[in-house]
Amino acid sequence: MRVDMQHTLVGADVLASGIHDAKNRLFEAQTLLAQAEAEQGVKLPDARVAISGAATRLSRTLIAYRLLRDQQPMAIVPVTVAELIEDAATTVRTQFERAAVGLTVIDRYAGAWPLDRTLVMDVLVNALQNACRHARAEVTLIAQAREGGLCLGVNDDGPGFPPALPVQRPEGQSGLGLFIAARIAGMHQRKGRCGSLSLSSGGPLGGALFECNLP
Amino acid sequence: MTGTDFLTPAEAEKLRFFVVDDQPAALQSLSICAQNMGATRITKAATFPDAMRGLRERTFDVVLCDYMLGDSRSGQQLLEELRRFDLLPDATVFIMVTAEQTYEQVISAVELVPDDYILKPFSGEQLRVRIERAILKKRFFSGVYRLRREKKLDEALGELAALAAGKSNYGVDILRHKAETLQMARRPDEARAVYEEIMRGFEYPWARVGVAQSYRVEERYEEAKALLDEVAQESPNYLAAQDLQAQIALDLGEPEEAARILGKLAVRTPRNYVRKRQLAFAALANGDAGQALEVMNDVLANDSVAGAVTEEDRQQAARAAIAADMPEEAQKALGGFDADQLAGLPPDDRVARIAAGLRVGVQGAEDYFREHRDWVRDTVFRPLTTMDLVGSALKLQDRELAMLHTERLLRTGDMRQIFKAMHRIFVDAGLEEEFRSLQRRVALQRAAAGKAADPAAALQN
Repeated sequence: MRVDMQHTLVGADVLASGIHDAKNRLFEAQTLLAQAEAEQGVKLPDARVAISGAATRLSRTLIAYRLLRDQQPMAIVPVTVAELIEDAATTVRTQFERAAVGLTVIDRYAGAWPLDRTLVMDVLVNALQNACRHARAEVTLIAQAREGGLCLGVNDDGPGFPPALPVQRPEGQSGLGLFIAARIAGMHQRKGRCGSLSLSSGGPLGGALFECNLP
Repeated sequence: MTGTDFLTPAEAEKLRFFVVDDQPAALQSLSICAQNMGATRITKAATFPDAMRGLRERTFDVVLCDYMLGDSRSGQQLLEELRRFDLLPDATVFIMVTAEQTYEQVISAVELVPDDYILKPFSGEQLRVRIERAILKKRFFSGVYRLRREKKLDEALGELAALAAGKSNYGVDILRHKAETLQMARRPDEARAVYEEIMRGFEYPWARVGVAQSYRVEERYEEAKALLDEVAQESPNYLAAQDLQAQIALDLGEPEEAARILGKLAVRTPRNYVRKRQLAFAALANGDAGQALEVMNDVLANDSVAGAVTEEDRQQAARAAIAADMPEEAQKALGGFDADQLAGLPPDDRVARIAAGLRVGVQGAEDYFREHRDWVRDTVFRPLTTMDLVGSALKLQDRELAMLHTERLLRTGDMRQIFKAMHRIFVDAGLEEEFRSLQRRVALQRAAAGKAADPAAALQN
């Protein structure tokens, strides 16, 4: 048993180290690409989306690996909500432009909220990427106070969530993202309350409505 | 959106960038990324010493620093060293760059945080937004920073009240600055109330440690200890909680506990020489001269930033060496005894050198000490120097001088932290009973004057 534990820890470290190096290399590729774009006066959005998509997948893989082993650390700090949602929108901007999907960011919460910035950022980016894939033309990202908590919502004008989505088990890319999101929301605890994920269809845009509620 | 988009390429061109990374390709990428947002004035550094030198010699508007700097150095250490030597102007933005996704763990566990951090890979636009935000925040609090530097704390609190009355996203930051300013103004009860207000939102470890700091100033040690025990257990990586535990142990005259805590922390942060100095002090106070000497030798040899090692450090090493009965080591730390040079030194430095010379048996030190006895008798020295002085006086059988300075320490309450070491000096001189009797007399006088509520507590050492 003891040996197994050590192997698990070493496994996580090896994975983390490899992903760390890969993200460093992706950063090199990204800056060289941006430099080439500027020098040649061209735009290569597909390449940029591919690089940022690869980085997101690597991060998510490591988070999923750690979550499945209950080894994902949390660090709750006060995070300015307006900045959080702006960063999420900036991360996916090229993908939305390429897909010709509009993204509207609505900030109805002034101030900071206690949360793990990296993890919640991953949740939002994943939800926005999914929404972009399924939307016809419009997606909104909205932050607002709700029932004493913070609600981060992503709504699109696509066909909506299918019934009985497998949030509890990581199956397929979309399922994995939702599994991670649910776990991350649940790990946020404050004053005896846990965060939660809510998936429904409707909302102002009529399509999928993803809501991450943080206590 | 959070910014005003003022950081256009033309504005970015005016900013002086300092970019630090030990990996050549990554350093190049960071520079290109800054160029992609319009920067042209970019200075690079590939090593920790180069970075310290560059930032000492010139002022920059933006520092982009990779978290891993090689040679077991980190960007966090660089930030801490820069703040320690006051090499970061208030207006300079320091942004940590890392590919480490659990960096938030690091940032939530340290006291000194960068203005922001950004995870690789990121685009020039993402970097631009981060820098713009950090500049806006610096500007927002610039008046507070300036007033605090000028020690105009009431005015700083007034400025913070004005900021709080306006509309901003910085509510928690304003409260934190307010609590810190109240701590600086020695208004612990008000500081505690502000930290408690923050904690109604979330019980951040730093806010809880802030409450414990207030308790310490209020001498409510049991409450401080109980709270810090909780924080140390729940947030074992938040080392400031354990540093404060060690401080409180010293306050309470428990150097053994302080040395134990600091010893464990020093293993985790081998390059933190500020903490190592604390450890050396605790070890010396605990009578563990060997450990104190070892730690101070490490500080003297390896705290290599220019100006880091001070005269006080050399004295501390010599003090530890003398206590460890290693006179050559003491001489090595302080250099030879030169009576002609002593006149120009500050009083504490003078006495520390005389005492070291005398204890080591240097020719001339004893004569010098006797010649200047009146001056030594009438001058008030720092607690550690007083300890040196008392040891020297006892060595020369000058019991009157030793008792006079010991009584002075006991009266001011400065004895507590070094009580055990001082007691040892008297025991070694065969004068324990005299020491105890002096201690009792001062404790009773202090109790009568209302300075110690409980004479029994004052005597418990």
